[in-house]
Amino acid sequence: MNAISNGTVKMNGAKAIVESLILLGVTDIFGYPGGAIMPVYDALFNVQNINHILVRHEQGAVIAAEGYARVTDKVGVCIATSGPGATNLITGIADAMLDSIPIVCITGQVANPLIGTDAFQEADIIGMTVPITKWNYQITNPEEIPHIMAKAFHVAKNGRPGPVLIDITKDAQFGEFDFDPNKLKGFTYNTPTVGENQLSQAAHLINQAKRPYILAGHGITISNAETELAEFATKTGIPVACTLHGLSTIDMTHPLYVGMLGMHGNYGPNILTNEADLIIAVGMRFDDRVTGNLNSYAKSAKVIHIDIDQAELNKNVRAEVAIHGDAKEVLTELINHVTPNNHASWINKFKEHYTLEHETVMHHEVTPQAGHKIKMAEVVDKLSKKTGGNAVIVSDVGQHQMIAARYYQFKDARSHITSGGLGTMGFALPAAIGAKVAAPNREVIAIIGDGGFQMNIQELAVLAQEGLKVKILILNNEFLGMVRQWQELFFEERYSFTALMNPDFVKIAEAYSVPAMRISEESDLDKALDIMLNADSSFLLEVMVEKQGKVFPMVPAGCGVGEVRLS
Amino acid sequence: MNMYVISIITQNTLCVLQRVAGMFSRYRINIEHINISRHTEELSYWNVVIYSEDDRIELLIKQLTKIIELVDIKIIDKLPLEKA
Repeated sequence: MNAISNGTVKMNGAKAIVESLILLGVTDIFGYPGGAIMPVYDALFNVQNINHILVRHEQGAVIAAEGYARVTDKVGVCIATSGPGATNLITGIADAMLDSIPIVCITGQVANPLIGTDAFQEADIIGMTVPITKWNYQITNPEEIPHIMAKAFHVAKNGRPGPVLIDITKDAQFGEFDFDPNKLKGFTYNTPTVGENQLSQAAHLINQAKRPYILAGHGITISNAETELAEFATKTGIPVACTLHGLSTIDMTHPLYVGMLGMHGNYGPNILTNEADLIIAVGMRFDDRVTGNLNSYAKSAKVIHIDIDQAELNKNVRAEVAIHGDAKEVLTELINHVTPNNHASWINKFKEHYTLEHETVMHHEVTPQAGHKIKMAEVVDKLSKKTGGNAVIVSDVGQHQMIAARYYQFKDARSHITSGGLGTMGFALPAAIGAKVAAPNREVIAIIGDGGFQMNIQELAVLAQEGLKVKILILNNEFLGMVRQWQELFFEERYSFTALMNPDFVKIAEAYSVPAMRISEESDLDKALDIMLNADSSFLLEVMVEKQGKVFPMVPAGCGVGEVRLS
Repeated sequence: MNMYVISIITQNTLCVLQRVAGMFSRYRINIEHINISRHTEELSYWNVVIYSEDDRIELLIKQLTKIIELVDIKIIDKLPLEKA
């Protein structure tokens, strides 16, 4: 089927869905067929313009769409059938809502006359996804398709991005109508206008500040403002710390980059928050994992908060200057308003704290110790050096996630993909699949714990079927490590149901036609990483790491950032 | 604690009631009184009475504003509640 350039064409709803996707620029979709979506799958058969990736569970499809969107600037698309197909999307949709990922989920629904009859595979997916979608809509009339599909992509992408779900009844998929491609047009988006007064106020605070501090968040990536961030920081000489999702918005070797914020962030970036006299928060939402106890957070600082979502301004932290705007546009304006400056003694404080953290924690974590098992940080540190910080790192949730964030030296934009807000275990493998489909020429490495890997292990099948050269690094401590760490520190070492007796991951990978190897000895680490990286196929490397490893620094839950612990 | 009267205009579509009401329940604010009437074929007018604190209502209004089907929202009355 060829895309239509103008004029109406008679077709059924299912074909109209596919035509709309093509005309909206979609080239890849992730999905799983089933009864109520079969007409759309029939319309997809032999379509050349769209690459459909068949996952093995609908959660894999929605998370792959997230990974796809995160590594590109495009909307991720997934497709599922009604009932269980649709409900299996829910965790991924909630994940995309919390992490502001633009995705469009298309679900089949039972035919309109059957709605409300408890029909086979009927589920009220619209009702279920109201709180976790930016917008959702049920199509019962094929005439609505082009307008609704265009609106879905418009809503998902613009402003603060988020997930949109479009549910389409089976009879609407079969229904014939005159498809008018012009109905896909007409949606425009204007970023909020930022007043000169606000820019002047912000610039005045920036120019006067003695200890200013930039907190860079995911909004930098979303608005493609990486260049502007570096330019703004360089001109003003202000140190930059990143949130978890802000990682890879600035080259970590940049002289003004000081580290990661948050519960397992770096020591200086956390503790010096309380010494800053000005915080410039760009595209971040003062999440509780970043701020710790708000009652003792940044009490010496005035705050300039820049965000595209007005509801985030003054939500958790009151801002002296709250700028509702697009990060790229606001930074571009601010660069023209601020005067060149440097804050050498303030930056030296970060360096002193870095030295302390390095000597107390990092050096020990990355240095092999005779008679000890491999540490997670050693593996990530070596991987970072071997890849030159140029890979796309997709992590799951838990200790390995924090270690990957802390020890991989990200150089390029859109290189760090993880589930930050919802903390969805099982995220890494499908998200890496999505990322690799989107960026086939980039090295995509999924770093996963032994717990999370088993939550979407079935997606290994996609690697062979699609020929995707995703590298998988399992950091296996035979525990749900982060929960074990909390049990050790805060629950009197009562290790309640956190030990895992795992299957043989190498055999499992090989059964899925993914070459694999396991190592336990430090002496094998270098060679094993080389084998993984040099493999001209997907590859799974399982590294047995120490069981009792803990992630430090740590801001214990309920404590302030000033109470960050090094051990 | 204050009593607020909130006026809302939304598109007249399926599920918009759930989306708006769900936001109130997410913030644990009970709807004391609600009246929704069709203004035109496309638009519904809402009057909602709730009891809440100032900072909570500010956050709630900002979140409601993001609902795609919401056209307008404003607090039209605020009365302090006497402590019993």
